[in-house]
Amino acid sequence: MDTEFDPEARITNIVRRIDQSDLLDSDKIHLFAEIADGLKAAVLPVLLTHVSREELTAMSRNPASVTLDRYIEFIAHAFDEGVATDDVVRSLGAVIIEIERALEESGIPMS
Amino acid sequence: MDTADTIETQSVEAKAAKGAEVRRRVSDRLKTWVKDQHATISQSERHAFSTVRKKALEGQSEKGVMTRVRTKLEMGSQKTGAESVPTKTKMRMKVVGLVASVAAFLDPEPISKAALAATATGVGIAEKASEIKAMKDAHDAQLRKPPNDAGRSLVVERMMAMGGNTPY
Repeated sequence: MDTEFDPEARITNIVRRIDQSDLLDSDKIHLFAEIADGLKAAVLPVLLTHVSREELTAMSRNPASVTLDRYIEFIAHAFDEGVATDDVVRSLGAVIIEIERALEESGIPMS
Repeated sequence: MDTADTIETQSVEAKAAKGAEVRRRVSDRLKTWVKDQHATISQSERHAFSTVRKKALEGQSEKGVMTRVRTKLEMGSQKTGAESVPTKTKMRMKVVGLVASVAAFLDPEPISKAALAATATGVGIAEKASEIKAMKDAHDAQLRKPPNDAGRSLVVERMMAMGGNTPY
């Protein structure tokens, strides 16, 4: 994937194309909600790949030991090296391509 | 019904049919993609993460947690950015909202489950349904018909959870 890939710019284009289409407003709203769900769904598998397995197991075995601070550290630690960010962007890229293809197939051009 | 009304009705019907088709295609593609990706997560990992997230969020405001996760990730980005490539840092800043959103929000309950829970707790299904509808209406109103570039930017921000939460 292009290293200059910018998920925000691509999503902005998708929103613009849907907005400018002749779809009913109710369908546009549903599409926006569906796409937002898809974007979030792209994050979890990546996040779970990069979190500390030991920490996850330890916390889940002893939920009483879970504090908000510990949880936030646990999430943030996964992104320490920057690799997780690259993977999230790659994953977003894949889901964005799926959305663009579906829209193209439906007669909503992306360019 | 006169000719103009008939043409108008046909136009709305055609738009609705196209809308249904677009939604089906987008939904099908996303469902397939999400299913494939999530198949890489084991049930035990998913369960462990849900347990931990649920416990961490207990008694907390989801919005508040999201802000804290986001701040923490942004601090990490700035720290890393000083030592690495600036464009990478910029990209990282763009995805932190999504990550924070996933970290801070519990999975929404499907409506059928919510209705069942409402019955179990003695709350009328109708009352629960109207509550869900009110939430959906409020949500829809926020996303409704972006009129200009600023409006579209707002939709994108909400999609990437950069300017608030999208609890659906």
